[in-house]
Amino acid sequence: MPVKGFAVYFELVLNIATTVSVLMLIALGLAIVFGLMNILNMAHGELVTVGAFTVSLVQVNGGSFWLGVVAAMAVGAALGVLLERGLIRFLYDRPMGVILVTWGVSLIIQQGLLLSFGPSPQIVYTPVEGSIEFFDSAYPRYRLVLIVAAFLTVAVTGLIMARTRFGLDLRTVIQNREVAEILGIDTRRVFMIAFAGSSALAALAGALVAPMTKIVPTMGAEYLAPSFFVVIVGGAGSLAGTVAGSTLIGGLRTVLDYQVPSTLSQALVLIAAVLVVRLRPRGLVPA
Amino acid sequence: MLSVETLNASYGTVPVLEDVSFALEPGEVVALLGRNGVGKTTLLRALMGLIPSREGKVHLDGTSIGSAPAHAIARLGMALVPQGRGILGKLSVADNIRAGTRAAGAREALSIDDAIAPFPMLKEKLAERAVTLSGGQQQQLAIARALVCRPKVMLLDEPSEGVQPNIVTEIGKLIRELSDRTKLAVLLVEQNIGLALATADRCLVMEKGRLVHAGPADEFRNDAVLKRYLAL
Repeated sequence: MPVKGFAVYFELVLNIATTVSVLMLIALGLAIVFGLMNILNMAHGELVTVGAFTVSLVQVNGGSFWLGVVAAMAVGAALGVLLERGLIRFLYDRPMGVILVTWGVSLIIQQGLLLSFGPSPQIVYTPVEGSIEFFDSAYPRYRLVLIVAAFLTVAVTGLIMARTRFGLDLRTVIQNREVAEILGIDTRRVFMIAFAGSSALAALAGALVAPMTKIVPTMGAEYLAPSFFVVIVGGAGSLAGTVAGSTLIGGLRTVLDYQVPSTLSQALVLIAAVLVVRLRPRGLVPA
Repeated sequence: MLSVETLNASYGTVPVLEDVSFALEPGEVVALLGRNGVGKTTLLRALMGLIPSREGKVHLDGTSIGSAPAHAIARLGMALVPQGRGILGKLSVADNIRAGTRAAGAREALSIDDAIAPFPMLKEKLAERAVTLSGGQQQQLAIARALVCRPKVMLLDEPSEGVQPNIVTEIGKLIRELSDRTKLAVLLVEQNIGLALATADRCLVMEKGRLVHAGPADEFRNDAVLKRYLAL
């Protein structure tokens, strides 16, 4: 019996870790464009969708899952460059314009995918089959891969921000765009690369969650609101905040899902998020 | 080193600089004097490329800076130490200087140690967030950050603002010494007339967006002249 009880807790911890990982992956790109660059990108969710569709397409055409992941990132980055160069760069000082334009883009992507692929879900085969046994209970191996991949992605992003030449350029531009220009930093180029990078991260998130979710054109939209909660609750502009925010929102959601109906748990998580923002307006880990 | 011919600039339809012409020679320190709001800061910003609507000929070491964006002008060798210093408070002191090396362009940047050599106080603070520095130290950091790329022209906007008097004197000496040693051309906007005259070779006087007078610094040691141009 004690072994069984332990197994239940272990499974709970793994489930929390999975939910947190998914949230973290999706919120990471948003933490950069919204948290750091202050761009309300309503199409962030659709970049996640595009990532998942790309993996599916690569697999259908005989490519491996991991090739699909790489392709998803490339497609995400390319879409990001297109969006930034084509639309967002004209609207940096018009936040309402950014919301409307990116919302429009999100609708175009959704409907475009619907027209091209139809409403039935796409299929992505998991690259890692089978389950792993923990104290008599089985846990899908792929979820462990996802957890590791999520934490690696956050760590690598953190290292790029803290240690690289581009990271310093971005931190400088975010703090003071005019001073960055005076210091010789091409701020337009930095914004473009950052936007492309965060779009690639969104597509990466979509690719990684693809094997365990229903891949339909509207899948990304469902992630948009929770991702914004994560960034706001965690603290806009801080990667540590994204981890903290994902842990709080994802952890609470998973634990509550065990106890109460899903709709109620969603509402309770939202109330918790409101409370956190009331008590810590700058988030759990302010920048 | 820097030649400016009939520079005009405007904010929207309001002209803020009208037919400004002057030149800076290598190793020369020129003070730009004038009452508040006559366009001194605007002139520095226009030279740095921060005011988009500008017309006229500006050449830096023979290269036209035309309508280039600010970062390109910085890479050509123009450094601006802006009013309020423009310190990046959340970055460390070392990262502030490191960010400054982006303006190196074709020149070779100094090492961080060399850049702060004139400011021993900064040496122990390299790892700290720049926001923890005092006003004087922040000004020193802003100057070190501007110098790290060995610029040809340095534009200094009110370096004495919010800085204690003994450091103001030091900064003045340093500017003079740097200019003499490295042939850096300096355009200095300064309300502290003592600092301006102690540092500059020449003075330019600005009124309502125009340069109305130019003369050697010694000319301005006369109260009547100061009164006439600056109402001091």
